[in-house]
Amino acid sequence: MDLIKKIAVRFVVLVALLVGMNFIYSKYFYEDDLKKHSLNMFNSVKSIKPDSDIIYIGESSNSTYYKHDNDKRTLGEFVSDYYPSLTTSSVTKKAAHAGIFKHILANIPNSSKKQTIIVTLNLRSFSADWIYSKLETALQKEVILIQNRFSLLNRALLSFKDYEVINGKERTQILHSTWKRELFHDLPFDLAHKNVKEWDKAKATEGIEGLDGKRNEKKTSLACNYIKRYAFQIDFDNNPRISDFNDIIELGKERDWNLVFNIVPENVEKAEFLVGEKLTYFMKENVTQLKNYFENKGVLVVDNLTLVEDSEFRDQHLTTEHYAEKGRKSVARSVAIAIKKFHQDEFLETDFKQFVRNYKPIHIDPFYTVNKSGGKWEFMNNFEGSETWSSPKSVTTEKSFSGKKSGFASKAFIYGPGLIINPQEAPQEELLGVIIKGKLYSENLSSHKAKMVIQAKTSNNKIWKSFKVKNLIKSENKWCDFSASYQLPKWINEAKELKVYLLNESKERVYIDDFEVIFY
Amino acid sequence: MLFNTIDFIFFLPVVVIIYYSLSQKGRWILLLLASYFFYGSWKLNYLAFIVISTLIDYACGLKMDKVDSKEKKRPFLILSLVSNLGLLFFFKYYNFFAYNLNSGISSNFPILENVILPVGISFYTFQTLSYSVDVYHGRQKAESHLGYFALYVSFFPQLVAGPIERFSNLTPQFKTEKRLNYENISNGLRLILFGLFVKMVIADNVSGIVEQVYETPLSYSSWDVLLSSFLYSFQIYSDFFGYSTIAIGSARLLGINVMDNFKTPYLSRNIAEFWQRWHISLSTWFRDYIYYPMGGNRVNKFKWYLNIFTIFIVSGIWHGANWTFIFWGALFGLIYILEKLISKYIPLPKKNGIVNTVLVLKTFILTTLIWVFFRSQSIDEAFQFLARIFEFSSDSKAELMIPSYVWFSLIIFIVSEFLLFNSRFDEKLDKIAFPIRWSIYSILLFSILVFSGVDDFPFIYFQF
Repeated sequence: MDLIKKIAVRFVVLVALLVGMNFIYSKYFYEDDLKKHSLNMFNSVKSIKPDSDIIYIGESSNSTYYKHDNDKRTLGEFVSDYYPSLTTSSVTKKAAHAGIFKHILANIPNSSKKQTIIVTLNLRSFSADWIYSKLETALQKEVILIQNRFSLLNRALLSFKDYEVINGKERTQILHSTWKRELFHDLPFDLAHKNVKEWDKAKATEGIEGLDGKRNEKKTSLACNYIKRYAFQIDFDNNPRISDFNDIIELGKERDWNLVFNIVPENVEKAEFLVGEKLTYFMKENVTQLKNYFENKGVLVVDNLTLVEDSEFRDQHLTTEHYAEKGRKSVARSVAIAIKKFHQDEFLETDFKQFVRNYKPIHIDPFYTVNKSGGKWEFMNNFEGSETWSSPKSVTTEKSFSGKKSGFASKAFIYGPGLIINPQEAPQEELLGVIIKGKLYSENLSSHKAKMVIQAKTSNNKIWKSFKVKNLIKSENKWCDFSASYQLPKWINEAKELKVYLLNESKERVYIDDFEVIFY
Repeated sequence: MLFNTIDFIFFLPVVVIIYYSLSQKGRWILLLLASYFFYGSWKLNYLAFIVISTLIDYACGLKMDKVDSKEKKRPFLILSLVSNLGLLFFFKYYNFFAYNLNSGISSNFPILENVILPVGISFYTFQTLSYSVDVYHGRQKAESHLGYFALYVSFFPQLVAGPIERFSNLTPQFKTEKRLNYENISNGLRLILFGLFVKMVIADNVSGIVEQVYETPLSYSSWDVLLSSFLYSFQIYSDFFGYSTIAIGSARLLGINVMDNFKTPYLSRNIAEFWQRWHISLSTWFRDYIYYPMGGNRVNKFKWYLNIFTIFIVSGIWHGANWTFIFWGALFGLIYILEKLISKYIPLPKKNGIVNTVLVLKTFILTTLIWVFFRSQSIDEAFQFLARIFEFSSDSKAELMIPSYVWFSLIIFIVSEFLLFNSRFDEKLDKIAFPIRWSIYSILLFSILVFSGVDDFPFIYFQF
């Protein structure tokens, strides 16, 4: 009896302590933690206008625009043009999927209105490549703090890792074994490859020719990426994305929403060009099945899979769903027309047809050649001239990709070639980001610690962003292309100096040639 | 499964509740299943290695027990050694040897990519080796019950990072009926609470800070680099000490006493004392199974120093397949011997507070500098790091930012080290009044819930 009394007293004290701790945490620490550990999620939730009639939620397909777009607004904002009398919120959480959207949606404040919720359905998010993506752990972590529970419990679950603790290497292993394990089945045609692994390998071996008739590595690599990302058959019983969308449907029922799934366009044209109709069969068949599955559950599904033509895809050497203005406007129009079902009286035609009539087909270059309307601000050094971008000692004739010289850095000269600019002298109104590219050569990738560094500071802020060379290039003892981009913070336009340089604290030299720095 | 995850927070109470609801006969089955589940939840395939190791050592033990002479026992001892060390060599050292032989004598051994080291392999192989050696020498009777033996090899609280237990300490406890005991539960929970604080609040917050400096030491001022080296001393200690404390606490909940692995090592006056207080289960293992068989200190002076040095080199190799660990072990060995030589001429005063403080500081600084080799990826990198410290340069491209709550938790930890000198957290708390004790619990619990590091830094010793 004494023992029970002793335990009961302690239990009561513990509960009281936890209640007190929750109060203190909620009042003094929670918001800071949200900003620190879930900033994007916090901003996504905050961007939902109270009492919205229409909420459009998506990943980067919603907000990514092309440099020459006249109207750089989000896809969700374009939808709102068709319903000017309604309150519309456009929510973007980059790299997210239904598993993340469901938590953001759960945070939508209750409304007396019957709200229309448009959820982006990205076909690629059902693929193993996305499910086992290295970004997944970070995404799962971000979501914990915004959930509708005691804030102290949320923080405790973050502390105790209530997410998949799988490191990058293990995720890659799982991904590769999935590509091997999941066999293609019930295809209406003969396919010489039984799984993604085989198909990818065959394509890599076969290669794709460029205009010069020679094997083109970039195109081959892109074709393989298309296979890895789209050659899958959805297992409706076990695919985690299916259960995520089902959770959203349940939430929609609870909240009495008009639920819309927007199947965003993929670059089907390019998939067909690079791989062929057999791959596009997978894309189209998956979408047909998804459409049927969710429509049977009462959801309005808008199929935009093939709506956007190749030239409107911004990232021509990637498989992303990033559209230029016409692409975004086309999807928005398709969605807006579909939801007339719920808001017939509020629908107002826009100048979309006029826009299309006047639209000049754009010539999309690879992403890394972007420049802003204010003019290009590009810098390039092949180390052949007198401009060394640092000490002449960091230029050598030992190796070169073009000409006779290249730059280098090593323990003896840890700061290799670097560009120093004053952001205030930029021709653009504001600098949004920087792209670095060129050629790198390393004799020993595994042991050295060389980095490309972007550095700037003002009295209140600073950036020290580094890209490890071993992540930028994959091969040793040969010149390799590298490129990296970094989005600059707004305050950069107040900084007086921005540096981009090669840093190497290891004994082994790392060489750089045809070094380009492009600000956009 | 990691101790600092939500999975373990659910797993442990479930095991404890079922454990006390079962009769003694069924408990070993529960603990064995729980241990295999605990290990298998990380990588199911690698569970096979524990099972193989268990079966071989179990069979070898029985065979050795049946024969009288050491000659007849020897083949079974060799089989046990070869299978355990072979497993360890393949996963942990093969690539290191292949790489060094390929570069040294231009051989052409293939480098095995994508080989993931089974978690805790160095711990459980050493545990089973000690059993085989003890049976061989007749110090231990072979275990005839396969279940208890398998449980000895795989007991989940100390399976993946120790303490490395002896058969004679652990197995009899499995066989003795344990009653649900308030003291065990209370002390176990206290230890788990303290261990989680040390790991999650100290180690996990410090590790991110240390990592950025080790990535590019030349970008930081000498002061920041020095500070980060001290922080690493706290990181590795709190990481491993935290793990061991949770392990001891978890076993205690089941009524099982696992040996202490640390006794305030940074309050040691010399390196010899440090190694009596740091990773005690490994030090005593080396002492009993390598140092004593080599003659220990009952040999001539030169051989004695050689024995000591050898132990430290082996300890370095045990920690990892990299020259940095060997160098780290060698440095400890050399300083150990040097201090022995000096102490012959300048004996340590027993009760002199100032001298003791100076000696403790000296040992802490030396240990901190030696840890640089342990933390670095290469010896070259370690020297570069140390050189940066001694440049006394204030030039920096990057600044070290240490949040105030990290300083605060470090101060709590340092104070607790002084208070816990030669005692354990659970025992110390016994003597404290209820309100103060619960105030301490509150601070620890609040810190764990609110200030834990959120990045994924696994326990450092898991990689060994």
